[in-house]
Amino acid sequence: MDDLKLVDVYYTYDDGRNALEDLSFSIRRGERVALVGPNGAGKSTLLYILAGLFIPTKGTAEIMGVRLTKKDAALARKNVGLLFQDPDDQIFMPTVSEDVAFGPINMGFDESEVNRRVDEALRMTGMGAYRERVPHHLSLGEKKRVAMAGLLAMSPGVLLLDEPTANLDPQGRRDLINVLQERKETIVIATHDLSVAFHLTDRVIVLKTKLQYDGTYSGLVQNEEVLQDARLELPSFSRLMQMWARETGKEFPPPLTVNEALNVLKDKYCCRDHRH
Amino acid sequence: MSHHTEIDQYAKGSTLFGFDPRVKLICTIVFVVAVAMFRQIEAIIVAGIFVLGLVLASRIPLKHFAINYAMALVFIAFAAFTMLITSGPENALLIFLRISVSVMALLLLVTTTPFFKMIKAFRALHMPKLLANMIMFTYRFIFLLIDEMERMRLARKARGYSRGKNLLDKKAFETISATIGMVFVRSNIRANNIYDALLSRGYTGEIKSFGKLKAGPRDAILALAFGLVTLISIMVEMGVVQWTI
Repeated sequence: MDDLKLVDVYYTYDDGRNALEDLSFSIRRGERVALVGPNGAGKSTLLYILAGLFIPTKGTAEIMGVRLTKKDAALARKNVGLLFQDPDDQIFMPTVSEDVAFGPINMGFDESEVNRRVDEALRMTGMGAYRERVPHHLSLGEKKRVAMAGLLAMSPGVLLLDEPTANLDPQGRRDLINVLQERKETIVIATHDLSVAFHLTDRVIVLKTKLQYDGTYSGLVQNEEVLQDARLELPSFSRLMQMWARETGKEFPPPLTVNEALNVLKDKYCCRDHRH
Repeated sequence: MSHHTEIDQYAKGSTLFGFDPRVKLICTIVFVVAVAMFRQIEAIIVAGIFVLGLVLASRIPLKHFAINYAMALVFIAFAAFTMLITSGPENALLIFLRISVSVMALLLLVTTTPFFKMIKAFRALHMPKLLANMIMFTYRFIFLLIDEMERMRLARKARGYSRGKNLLDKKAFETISATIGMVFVRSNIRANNIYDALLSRGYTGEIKSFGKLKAGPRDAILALAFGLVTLISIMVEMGVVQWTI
């Protein structure tokens, strides 16, 4: 079953700028998809449509079976959670626990259920000790985790994440990846960080106003034209391994994670030589 | 990380924290309206002593209270100065004391009550939803605006800008006006983003929260104290209680 479905979607801003053109794809339940592309490619606009915040100028969008129209946008929004790039846009309430409770209260849950959801979401994001803290006194990484807890407390079927690891320190980035890795929901991540995308998703959509590529990473990394056109850069270890392959004449697909690179090295050099 | 001084940052440590915000709000409004009508300095002094007594009893840091009062003092002094020119020193003193006591009473209310509870009290007293939301959004945006302006100030400084030599420095004026324009543009973008974020979390026009407001015996005592002092002040005002300074 498709959680998200776009057919011939166009989106034009009030100033006449075309943000999205002729976009069609669908995302199945439980699928994890990365949305990549250069700045201004329309990634955030697309996330806003998938979140039910923008209505396509032309074409149709369906969010968990609800066709996105002005009338049904509020209904469609109940099924998706959007993590904003800047947590200051999202965090509003005076304390962390009240902010996390904001969504569940609006969903009409009673007090005990809201408290249970808040506790659970704060535990999952490692923010349990921050319940009564004032959110705008927290660090950026902590704010991102509070914003994430706010989404998880709503238990949406689809998680839409706009640059979730932007401006995070390595530990904050790792913490967020760990939280997301355990999720079972459909996840769409808009990111420039390909190594995060490799870790968390299996499918990649390359966007540059129009759809440039939709498929697996192994297909993408071998498609130089799309990579260059979308200004994408593989992680440094992938590029190193590609250089090594060229220098030594060995043939293997570029590794996407550090573990894959290690396995290639073991396979092509270290352990085989040791075995000999 | 931002380090703003918030008006309600000491509210939780205050002895007046646990009182029902509706009772505090009604008492303060009645008190302020009464003080605004006083023409006798003695009556205002009685009211002022009561407010200062409550400030001391509330255990909010006096420095925090004084700083907030000092911010209002500029406007109070301006009003008093205007009266001094038009109506003489006695009326100037009267207006100075009247506004000061009223401001202190309102400051006491907002420094001892968490801001969000104040909004709840407004709503409980049937303030229109739109107005209550506007107050809340405004309070939220103040800090974002300050952050925005601070970032722009640092960016200007990092690129060699220094303040103009005098008030008529054309270059400084150009820079400041461009900054103000940009702050408005950025604030507009930020406001739209916040609204979108609220919508995506089910916002339908009202900020909801749990925790019902309850008035108890101690709220009745507080209301009684306010009522009694207001009554005594009115009696002094009307000359029922004779007291001259």
